[in-house]
Amino acid sequence: MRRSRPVRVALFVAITSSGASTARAEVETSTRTLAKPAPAYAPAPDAPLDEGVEKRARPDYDGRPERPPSAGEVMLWVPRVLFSPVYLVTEFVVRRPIGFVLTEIEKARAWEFVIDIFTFDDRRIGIVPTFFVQFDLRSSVGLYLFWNDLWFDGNQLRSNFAFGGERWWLLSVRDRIRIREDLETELGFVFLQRPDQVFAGTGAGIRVEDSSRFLEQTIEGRAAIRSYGWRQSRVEWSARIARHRFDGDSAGFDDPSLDDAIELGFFERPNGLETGYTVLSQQLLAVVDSRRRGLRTSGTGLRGEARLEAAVDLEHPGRAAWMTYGGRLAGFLDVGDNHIFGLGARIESQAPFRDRTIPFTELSRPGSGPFEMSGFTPGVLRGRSSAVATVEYRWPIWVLVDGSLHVSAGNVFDDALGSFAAEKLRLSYGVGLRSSDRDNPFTLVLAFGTRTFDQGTNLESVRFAFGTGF
Amino acid sequence: MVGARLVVALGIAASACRASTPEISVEAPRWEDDDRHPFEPAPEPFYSPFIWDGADNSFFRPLAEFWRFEAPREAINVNAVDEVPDSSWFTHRIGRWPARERADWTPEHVARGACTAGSEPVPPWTATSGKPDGANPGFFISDARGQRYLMKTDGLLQPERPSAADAIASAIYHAAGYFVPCNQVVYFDPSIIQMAPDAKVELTSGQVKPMTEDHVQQVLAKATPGPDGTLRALVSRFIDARPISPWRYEGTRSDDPNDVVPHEHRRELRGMYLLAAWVDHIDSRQENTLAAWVSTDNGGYVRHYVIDFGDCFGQLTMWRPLSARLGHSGYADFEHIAEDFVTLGLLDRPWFRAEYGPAGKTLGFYDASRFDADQWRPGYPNAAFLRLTERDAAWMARIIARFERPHVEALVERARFSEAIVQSELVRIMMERRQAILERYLTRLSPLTSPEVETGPRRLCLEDLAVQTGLRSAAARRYDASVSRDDEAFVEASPTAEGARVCVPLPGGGRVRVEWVARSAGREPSGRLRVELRPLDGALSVVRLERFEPQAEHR
Repeated sequence: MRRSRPVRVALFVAITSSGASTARAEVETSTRTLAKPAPAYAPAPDAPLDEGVEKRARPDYDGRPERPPSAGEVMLWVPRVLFSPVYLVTEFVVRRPIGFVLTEIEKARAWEFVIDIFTFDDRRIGIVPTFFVQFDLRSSVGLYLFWNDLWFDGNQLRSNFAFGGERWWLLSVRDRIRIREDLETELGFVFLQRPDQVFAGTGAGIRVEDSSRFLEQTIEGRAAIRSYGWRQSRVEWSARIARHRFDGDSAGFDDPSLDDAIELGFFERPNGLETGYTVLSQQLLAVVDSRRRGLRTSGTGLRGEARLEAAVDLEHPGRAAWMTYGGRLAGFLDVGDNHIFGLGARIESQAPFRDRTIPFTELSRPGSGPFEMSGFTPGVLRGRSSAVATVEYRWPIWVLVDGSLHVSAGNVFDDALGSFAAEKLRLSYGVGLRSSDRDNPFTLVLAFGTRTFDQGTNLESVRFAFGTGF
Repeated sequence: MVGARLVVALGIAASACRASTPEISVEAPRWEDDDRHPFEPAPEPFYSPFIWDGADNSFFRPLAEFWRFEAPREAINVNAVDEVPDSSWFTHRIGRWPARERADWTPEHVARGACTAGSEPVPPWTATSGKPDGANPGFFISDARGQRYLMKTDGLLQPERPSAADAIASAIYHAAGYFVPCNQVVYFDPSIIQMAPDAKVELTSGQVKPMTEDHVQQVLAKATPGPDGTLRALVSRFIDARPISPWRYEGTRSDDPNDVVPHEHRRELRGMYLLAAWVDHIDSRQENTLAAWVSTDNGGYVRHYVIDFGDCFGQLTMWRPLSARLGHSGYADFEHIAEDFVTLGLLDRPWFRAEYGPAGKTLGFYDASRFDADQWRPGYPNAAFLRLTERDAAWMARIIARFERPHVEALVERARFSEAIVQSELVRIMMERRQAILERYLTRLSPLTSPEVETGPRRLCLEDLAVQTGLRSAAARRYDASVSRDDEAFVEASPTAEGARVCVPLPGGGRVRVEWVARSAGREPSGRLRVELRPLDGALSVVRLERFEPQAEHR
């Protein structure tokens, strides 16, 4: 150990008595144990280590012997030994291999290699993996393609391909052309086939445990023109032509197939199941929303929506033609820092033209808004009209993610809410996470659905879904 | 898991109750660590992963370390007087004691940082390589003397802040005791830049291309305009040692025989937390460190540098909500995310109250009103910072206390801001944050420091940093002191205070112990301080200094 040489220094020290006079005294100070070399940018090197010494000995910095371990420190060996397998797994099976692989990937600039594989033309074109995990429907994985400024500025192509197991396929292509800052058009094509669609009957009294499964195949073309207005307001016209085919003999689920359920007498054969249909429809949607655009802007505002759709089955125009109309009113109060209480009500009703009918997959299905009736699997509730009131509390938990607590009361009813009664409402409540950025969609929800009030609001549906997609 | 935590808590509690005090050395305190033994060959460089370092420190390392049931411990490299010996990591500068040892750390000296006379690059500047795109565009340049520099422009988001941050914070770290490069703000005529014939650029995509005039213009376009057609940039002089690779905030290097103290248990790395909190150095991570090889006659040794401070003083990002969180929460702070989710967002978070101050975007959300000295967080967890103890923090607070207003003003002057409001605001915020740090860490453990034995008459004098820094008034300050001679019982002594300097007469004899408690009316007294003196080479000398937790009885 180096020792500083004794230094005796005579110096003048200004001594200030507490707030009074200043005295000057000559003080001889011994700094033998405290003296250090004058400030230097780099201390001089030490002597070389002895031959064969691989590591210098750790110095005894404070001059005190190592104290023996305390009883508490000895006791720590109990959990250390008990949980050593967990430690070994987390350190040597998880952390180090992942660290090695990720480090090598970074070192080889493999991220850029991967990004280069999945993006092209200076990142204007790209492919992104997507996934959606849910317990009540088939989970799916897929790829999302974006192509910005295709052929000309403002033309954005989006495509999604997903696979959810046997007979579950999705291919969608959407081309959005921004004509002006506030005006855009959209053309789209969708092919969707999934065998996990749910039918549990129609009307307010359905029971979730009666759910059955069927395959639906949809080939759809869509066109829309959208005009953005004040804040988040917009007006949209859209048209679609969609061919639907069904197979009621969909096996492989805990629920029976729809054909079996019909054979067992659970339901009448729903309209359109046998023959399928091809719908041509036009829709007008008007949204007035006083909330400002932008990430984490104030969430206070009012939103009103009105929707009107007229549709006809091109294959059986004399049999199926109908009109759908409805709307939503909602108010949001941002009590500070994006802690937002929302209260909204949505109603929708359908009316067949003259004595015609409505195909069963075109019936009103509540839950089109985020976390509305989220305790029920989409498709369980179907009817000629629907009414839902939702209270939601959202709060920020990260830059782009909000937490959500929500409770909905709603159900499906007969024509024009004809059979509406408060005791016929169901409850849906849950907790979840949702992206606060529309460009980076992400959802995680755990929600519960109940029977109607007059059936005792017993829990009859639990739903978990987690995923990201576009 | 709860049970496991309980066992740890019981262990710690039992450890804290241990009453025995080990025998102490009668040698002088160790002020130098002999970690500069020359050796060969130089340690091998290692690749420092950017993404994995963040993921590991945020998630994987805490997950694995939890199951090790590591007991909290004090830092290892602390000498008998509660200080850190000088080493290849740290050299006492502004915090040296006694006072005359730091006399030449004047405001001007502190503001120079690691720069010496003639540190500015001499025109023409020859660009040898560069990064024209990305967040930090810049060149490596060689000046007319052949001295090499890294030159960085400010970018467009916060003109002047990145270069100012690099210059100011590096000088602060240097004065505190760390090794840093010489960073300085320059205004230059763009015509002095010329390209080396073989100059290359590396794009963020990893592509390497010959440097062109377009690349030069690309970099200069992101420079802040100065007066008379000049441009502003930060120039960082190459260090006088050969770069090896970053150093880690945990573990030791197996190929460095001098490296025997796990880095997470080095006090200067733990205590760096407080310095980073002061200047908001959110990027205090492995990537911004540098182990460098200092050649000697017999080989060389490793010196440890801290580099790149461009994120200090209110860095903004592309997302305002993220910028508002920086310094208060990590980039993706799972602890805060979980807390906010479970509590339904009812916790009052400082990022909710973030607003630009009078300096506007230049200083981003760097402020003092939302600053909580022990709640500050870097972008992602740092293994050494996580092990910070009260003693480590108090040690750094004693160093920060030495940066007085003239020092801070000189440091900020060095940034050469174009607007006076930015300059005055930065001084104000830095002084207020400093005050918050000192209030938190100079009031629990004893703020008495810098012991000196005076021999005519013989007495022990200390400096009360709480009074020296204005935290507590001298008039209302009271001291309880007692003295023990040769292991006899302590007897009350009569300390005298002269401003921030307090002294107590010493009795004759061999082993003398003095205990002090400093208190102010209406405030909790700070913890007890014990100083032990022994005759060494014929003079009574301080051989030990201990600070006890408040209210703890250790007699």
